[in-house]
Amino acid sequence: MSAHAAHADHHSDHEHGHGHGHDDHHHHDPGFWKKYVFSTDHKTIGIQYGLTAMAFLAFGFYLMMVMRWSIAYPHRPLPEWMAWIFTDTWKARWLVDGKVTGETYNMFGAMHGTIMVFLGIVPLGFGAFGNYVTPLQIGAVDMAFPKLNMTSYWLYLLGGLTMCLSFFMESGAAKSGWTNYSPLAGFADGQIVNQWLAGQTQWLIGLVLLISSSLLGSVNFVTTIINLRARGMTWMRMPFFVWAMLVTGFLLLLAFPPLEAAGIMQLMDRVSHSSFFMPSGLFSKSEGLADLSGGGSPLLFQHLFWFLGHPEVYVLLLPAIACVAEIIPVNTRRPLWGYKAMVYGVMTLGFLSFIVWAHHMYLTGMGPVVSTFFQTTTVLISIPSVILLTSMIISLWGGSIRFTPAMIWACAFLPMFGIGGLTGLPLAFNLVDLHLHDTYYVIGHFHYVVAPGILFGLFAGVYHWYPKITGKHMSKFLAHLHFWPSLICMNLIFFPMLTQGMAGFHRRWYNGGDAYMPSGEGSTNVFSLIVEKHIDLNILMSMAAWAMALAQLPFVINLFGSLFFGRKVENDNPYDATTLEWATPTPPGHGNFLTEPSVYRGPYEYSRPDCEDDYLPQWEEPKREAGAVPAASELPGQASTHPSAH
Amino acid sequence: MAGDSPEAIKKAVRLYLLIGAVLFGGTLLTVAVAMVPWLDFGQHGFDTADLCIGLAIATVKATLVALIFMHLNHERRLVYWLFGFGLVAAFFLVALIGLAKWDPIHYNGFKTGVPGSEHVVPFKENR
Amino acid sequence: MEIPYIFTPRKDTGLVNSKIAIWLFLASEVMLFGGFFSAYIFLRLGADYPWPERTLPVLPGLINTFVLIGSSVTVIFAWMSLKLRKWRQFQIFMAITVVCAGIFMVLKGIEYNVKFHHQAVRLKDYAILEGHLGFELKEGVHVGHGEQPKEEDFALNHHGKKIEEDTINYSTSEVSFNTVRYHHDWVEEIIAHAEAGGTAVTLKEDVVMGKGEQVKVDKDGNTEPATTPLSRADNFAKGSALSMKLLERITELHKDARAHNADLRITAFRKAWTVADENSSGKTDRQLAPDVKIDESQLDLHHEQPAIAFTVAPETVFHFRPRDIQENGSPATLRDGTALTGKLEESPMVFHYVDALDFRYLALKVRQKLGVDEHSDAADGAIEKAIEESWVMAKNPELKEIWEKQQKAVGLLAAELAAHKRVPTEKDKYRINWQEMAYYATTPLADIKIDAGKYVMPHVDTQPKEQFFGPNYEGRAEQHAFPHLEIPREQVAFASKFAPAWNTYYAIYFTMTGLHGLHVIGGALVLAYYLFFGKKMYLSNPEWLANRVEVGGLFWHFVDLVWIFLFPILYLM
Repeated sequence: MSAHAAHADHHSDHEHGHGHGHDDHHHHDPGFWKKYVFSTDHKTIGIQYGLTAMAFLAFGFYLMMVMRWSIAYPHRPLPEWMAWIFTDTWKARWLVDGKVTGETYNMFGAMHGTIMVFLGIVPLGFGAFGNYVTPLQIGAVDMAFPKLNMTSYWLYLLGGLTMCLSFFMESGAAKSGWTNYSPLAGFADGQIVNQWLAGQTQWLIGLVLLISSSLLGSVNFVTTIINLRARGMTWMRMPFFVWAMLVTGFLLLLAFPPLEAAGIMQLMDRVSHSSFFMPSGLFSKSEGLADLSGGGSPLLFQHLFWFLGHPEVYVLLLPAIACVAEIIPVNTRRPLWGYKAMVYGVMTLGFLSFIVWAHHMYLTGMGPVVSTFFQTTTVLISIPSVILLTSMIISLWGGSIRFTPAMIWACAFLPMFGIGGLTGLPLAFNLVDLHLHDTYYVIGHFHYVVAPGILFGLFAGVYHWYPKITGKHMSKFLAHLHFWPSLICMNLIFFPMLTQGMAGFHRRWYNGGDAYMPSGEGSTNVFSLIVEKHIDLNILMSMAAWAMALAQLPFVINLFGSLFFGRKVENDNPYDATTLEWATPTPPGHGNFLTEPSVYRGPYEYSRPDCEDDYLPQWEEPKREAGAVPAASELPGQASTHPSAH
Repeated sequence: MAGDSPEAIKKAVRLYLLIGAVLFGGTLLTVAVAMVPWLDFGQHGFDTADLCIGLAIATVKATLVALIFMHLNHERRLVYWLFGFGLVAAFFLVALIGLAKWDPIHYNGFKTGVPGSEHVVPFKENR
Repeated sequence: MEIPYIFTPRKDTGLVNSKIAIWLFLASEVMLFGGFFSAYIFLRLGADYPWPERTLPVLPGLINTFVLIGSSVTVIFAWMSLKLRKWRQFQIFMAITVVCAGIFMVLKGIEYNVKFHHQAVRLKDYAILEGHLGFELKEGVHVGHGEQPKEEDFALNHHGKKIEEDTINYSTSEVSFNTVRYHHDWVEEIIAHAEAGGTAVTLKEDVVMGKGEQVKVDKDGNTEPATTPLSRADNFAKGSALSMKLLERITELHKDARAHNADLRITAFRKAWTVADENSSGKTDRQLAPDVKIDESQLDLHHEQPAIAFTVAPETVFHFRPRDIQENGSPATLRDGTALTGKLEESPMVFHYVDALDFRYLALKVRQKLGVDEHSDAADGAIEKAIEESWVMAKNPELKEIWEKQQKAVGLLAAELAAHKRVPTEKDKYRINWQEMAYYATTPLADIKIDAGKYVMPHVDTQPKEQFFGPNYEGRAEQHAFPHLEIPREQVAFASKFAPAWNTYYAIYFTMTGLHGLHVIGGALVLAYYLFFGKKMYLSNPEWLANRVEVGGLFWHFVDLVWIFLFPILYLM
């Protein structure tokens, strides 16, 4: 333990010793607004992303709670405990006698998907964790373009608010699914004359803003990772987290623009009455034959949408895997198993994700050749995913596991994501997908991946890095109170969906299948009988969903309460981790590192036989003893350009 | 621009002007092939020959702009990789959408059955 | 704290941050325009109408191409000047670049403007006519054939603008507004139109909103003073004049009533369900639902007024844009839910000048009906017949004459092409563009001939200005180059300006060139910024400015690159 104490002393030197030198570079205090609101510091921006994303996640969660009421109790008015938040005017417009109408359900469903995917998970995973941790882990002072970073956040906030404020308009928010297919979504809203005020149009404008935000962010990330790595940080010494962020950056960079093109075209369809996605002969009940030229193709929108849509799900996934891949080595005191395979795997995953998208379109009338192509690539892409998952599972083997809250969430991520991934495999096959497409099976599959999967991984990240960000530990008790009910509820909500879906339950039924219930005794309609057997599951699932809401309260209390009441961290590296973010003061100041870090070894040097401690940080200078790692850095002769170098 | 001797600069200027002239010429050639009737390689009017020649000339012009005007011919390899990913992804986007269009399910034409709409989806037999 | 590698390249990658960033950005731009190009291919291959090949005038596009290529060269020279530390030279070359961008946008603006004022219509028999619409003349003004009306002859709407002769004229005796959805501007128009014509638009019946102390609102919109405090109740008298204030007040009260009623009903339903649960004895919600009812008489519901009806006296003809009104129902409805009771009047679409006639779509439909492939000529006879029977030919002798001349010219062209084993194209046979129309209109049948060796249909020469601004209608009107035509509304299937709405070709054309134009503007702004505000940076760190200009120049070259593809694809194919 003496070596450990020596390390602690070493760190405390950092804390007290060079503080003044650091301050010499700052002669002025930027003031409240520049420091906390319009900050260009990646850490502040990361926290902004994180808090905003969590707020959006909570909003999206609430929408789902109302949807689940409609599914479980389609005949009953919303109860007071759920409806108190709505004004009477809003209720009069959207609820008929308090019941959730089909239109309202669709609106909530479309926005739930949009908010969770675009405004919740991606900003939390990529925007929050990526921004905060990446420059720290590569030893940089900040992102390559701090002002662009700030712009990126504000565009995100603006886009998100644009989308959500449409809830309060007379026409309501977008209602055509998060996938926003034309012709439904491209048709001018019959409720209002000025199409710019329609929720669908606002959704598209919000999307353009979000895509711009993404674009700036991804350029920033990739440039930073390529060019701002510390001395000695070669590609293969980067933590897996950074690799995952690099691939995510590329996915966002290259996959979003076709959706932007499609969004612009759909916007043109709505406001200038073009027919990009409107086929000839469109007929609506209110207008008769549509006053459009026709000649367009709804399929075109689907292709362009899913060209983004598929890489998007990997954008959702990779930050979560990144977090888990960092947490596991720290808490097992073993290196990450198969690091190289994981790196090549994630790069392959990124490449393949661009050529699988039409597996979302198996029912659009594609012929056998193109279906087979996409089926093949989709099955192939499961291989790198499995490599990633298996490597992380094997990393647990033989480890000295510390069940910190972060580790518990990370361990839960593994089987939950496993279930999600495995349930996706049948959907990869054209023939099976014919039966399962647009059923609850699909909902069960992707929610397993995102909700108990990705979200658990991101929660793990919050618990893991909270001490570095704030200098306080989160409460373990509250963490367990958050974790166990969440885990149980998640499974209660989503597992029955798989059986419902296989039985034929459809997506986007606002009354939970009630419309298909047998009308009387002795009904022989097979569909009705299937629905009858599975419809009662809806009540259990909805109860679990509402209980989930309660289970998140300990998290909120923990998150903000620990700032004031949490146990203070004992030193800058409370977990005895090896990656560079733990070499900073706590919390890291402007410029992150007190002296420019140099990297001498890989990121997961735990339990080395030749080392007294069970960990060897990346930044620690090698001891000049026999058998030690050579001292020369990978970049001989490079002059340090770090400002703190004297 | 290391090694900026007057001759090197003169050479560079000449090269840029030459490429500019080539671009002008290529444009005129494309227009001529499209508009001048006795340059109809296929049949009178627009056909695939016009398309191929036009796109080929455009590709050559684009390559010249990229390589010489945008200095790609003496840029680091990393830049090739970065931009190349975009080109590869764009290729797959266009190619696979084209593939999907080329290989649809075949079915008989159907009437939408809606009053006032005479739209009949035709059944194309020329596969 | 400074970010490293802003000015000096990093040793192992050899690049500065901005260089990496711009190439990444350009990769994403490739994907953006790639998305649009794949849309173009998809739309063209999937078009169920004849794709307009080579219909755009080439000269503006060609000049724009030269302008952009030239600016690409000058932007490199600007960068080189910076590297050679020649500030003046940099300024000159950069200024030329920015001016070129300006020329590009001006030409583009002219192109767009001409198209947005050019009208197209597809008739029910799939004949297509293009031209310029007339403007409504004042009551009682007549203009002789071939003469031009004077500016003061035109009628103006209440905004002071001329009215295009493409309106639906609806003689209205009653108008009923949807309380929640009515469109502010349209109500204003009805009010203004009625005022100008001395028509009275008044409330059809008393409207009583809310409960409590009644406060009377008289015909002029004045409220009688109340003796007791107002409790959100208004009584609008029958015969009150239509005004925005009146409508807004009723809307406000209606929404309040709606909210109030919703709250009461929801509470009542919740109670009813609680009661039903207690007595339910194991029934499911579904079985219980039909019996769960509320007694509305027990609730203090306020009056809702979802529609507000007004009488129009005397019956007045209102004009609406075709897109805004569904005139075939009874009552006619506007897009904001307003219902009009009355009669549809004659609402022809009047072309002041018809400058093109296009039967290719009609030909395609005939072939489809007969199951004939588009490359075979088996249906040619049937197509000729269908054209002769179309409304345009049957009802318009002037256009029929022009068509006969065109048929003669086609025959001559076919004979000339046959020697080279070619045939006339669809466009030659079935489309008369403006140059050809002007030729036919001004040439007797006997004088129709083909220029030898040119292999094109006979046409008048396009004046240089006409390449940019379209045909000189007034100038050519003296020779009666372009016929006048009144099309009855029943014949119109779909009409639009040459805008994205007209067909998918124009949709993709405007979208792609528009987006490209935005990129031109953006790039020009960045370059202009360095031109005007770069001196300070130049004096402190010229290499930094050179880097920035290089990055801007790379973006500019990309913009040029995209145009290199756009021009042939949209203009020449």
